[in-house]
Amino acid sequence: MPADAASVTFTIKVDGRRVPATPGQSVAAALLEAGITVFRHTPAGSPRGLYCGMGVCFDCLVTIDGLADQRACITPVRPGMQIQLTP
Amino acid sequence: MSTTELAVIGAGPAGLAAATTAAAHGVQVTLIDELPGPGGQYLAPTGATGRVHAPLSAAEQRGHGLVNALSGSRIEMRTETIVWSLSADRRLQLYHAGRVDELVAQVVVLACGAREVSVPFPGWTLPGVMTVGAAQLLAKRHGLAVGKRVLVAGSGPLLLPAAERLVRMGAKVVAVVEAGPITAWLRLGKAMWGHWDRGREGVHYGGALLRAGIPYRFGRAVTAAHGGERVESATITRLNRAGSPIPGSETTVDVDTLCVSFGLTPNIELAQLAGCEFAFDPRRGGWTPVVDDRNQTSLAGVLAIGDMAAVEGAASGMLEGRIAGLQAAHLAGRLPASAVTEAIGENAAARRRNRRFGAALNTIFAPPIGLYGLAADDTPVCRCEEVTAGEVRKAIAGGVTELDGLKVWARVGQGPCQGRTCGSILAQMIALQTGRPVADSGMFQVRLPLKPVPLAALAAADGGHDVA
Repeated sequence: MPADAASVTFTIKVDGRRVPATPGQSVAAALLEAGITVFRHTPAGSPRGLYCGMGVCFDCLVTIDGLADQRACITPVRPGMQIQLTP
Repeated sequence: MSTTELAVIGAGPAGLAAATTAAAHGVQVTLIDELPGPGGQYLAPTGATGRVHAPLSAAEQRGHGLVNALSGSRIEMRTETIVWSLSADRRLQLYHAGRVDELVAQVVVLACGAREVSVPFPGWTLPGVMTVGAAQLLAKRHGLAVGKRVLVAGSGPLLLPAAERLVRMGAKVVAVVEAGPITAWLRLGKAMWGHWDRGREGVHYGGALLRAGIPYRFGRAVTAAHGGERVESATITRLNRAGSPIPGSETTVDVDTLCVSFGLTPNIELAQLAGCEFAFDPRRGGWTPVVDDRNQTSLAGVLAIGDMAAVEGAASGMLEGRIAGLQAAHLAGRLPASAVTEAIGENAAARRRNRRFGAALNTIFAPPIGLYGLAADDTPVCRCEEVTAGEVRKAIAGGVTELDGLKVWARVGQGPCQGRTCGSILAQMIALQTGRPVADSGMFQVRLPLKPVPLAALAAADGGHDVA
């Protein structure tokens, strides 16, 4: 069940695009709920997304508020957060 | 720098039990976790979303009781905090919100839990391929079903509840694919004598899958995932007794998500860094710190409990946590030694049962070694550094048969995960290729910081920590 409208209380920005977020959600959950499954591409060009989901594998790395290589799976969303995916 | 009597690292069921028990005896406790709230992976803190999943098993209910007990206690909870170093004299280096900090503890209880064992196969790095644990957390913590058409595959009892939850959330589970033979479940049934709560859970999940008409296929594995930017289909192949695919038995199914699980292995890096003595025991889930009957490691004042000491599940972790909490209270001078001895005696039978159950799970459902031949030569084995199976096999053939040797010769384990994902894979690949015991390849040596800490935070720290 996706976040119902009543519980969406703020938005975050993903590559400039507004994405709804719920307090307590992880960045990864907000991305997946918005239909974003590719979080980054490796230097060799291989697409990557959520794998272990618990902070172990470092595959879901995104840039959060300018800080590179943050784990989307264990970082909670915060109002005004700016996420950059690695194309 | 700050000080505390007891630092508990990991706020899952085991750590919560240790912290609340010690605090109840007047011990000053600091409880640290990198997640935003207490509960660990098992209790999956729902945060402010307030979406609590149901139904709760008896162990989950007890665990939530411990989480609730936190708020009324004097335990200092440090969330979103990474412990990136631990020394033998119990100095913890912490990172939180852009800053590093040192905490010196009289006693340290390590309750770092376990992570999933991975088996690489062509396509396993595609988005949409994820561990069963990732799917469970998204469901439990965020109320999110990971896909519409999902294949659940791997080995062991973790597949069952994950598939059941996905079905309950409205996903179409195409099939559950188990590498082990059907007789594995009969063997587990025998080991579960006395674990009625777990038995009931299993029957509940199995019944739900049966009613939903989900096929449960034994002796098979996903041997490839296909897709461009994400998984679009998966190939399922029958396995021989060694776990190698039987040519000609492939079938391909369309899926948008593939959830994989091959059991759990302990998160041992902090104990390694501190210098605890280790032993390899497949019954405990692999390499674990050597502990005595009150879960003390070889280092004075450093205890290891729960899945990181032996993968046995939450109920066992909570029991070990309680005893470790008492031992910590004793070490802090709040409790006579006899009180700990008494608790150990009272719980001896339960702990033996837990040990037997854990050993059965960890050995009966260990992925058959043939599965480690599934990766094609161009399949990445080290996800971080994109080192392929072919490069690794070449190094092994050239005589590099230890993990630390592979790190130098094949660049594996040099990325941000420090080999947490590829370590157990590489050990099995070496064993498969050389025919030698898995333990012979050793452990990856850990390095500071254990998890990435921004250089700016390290540079800004008072005194400057030595990060070689």
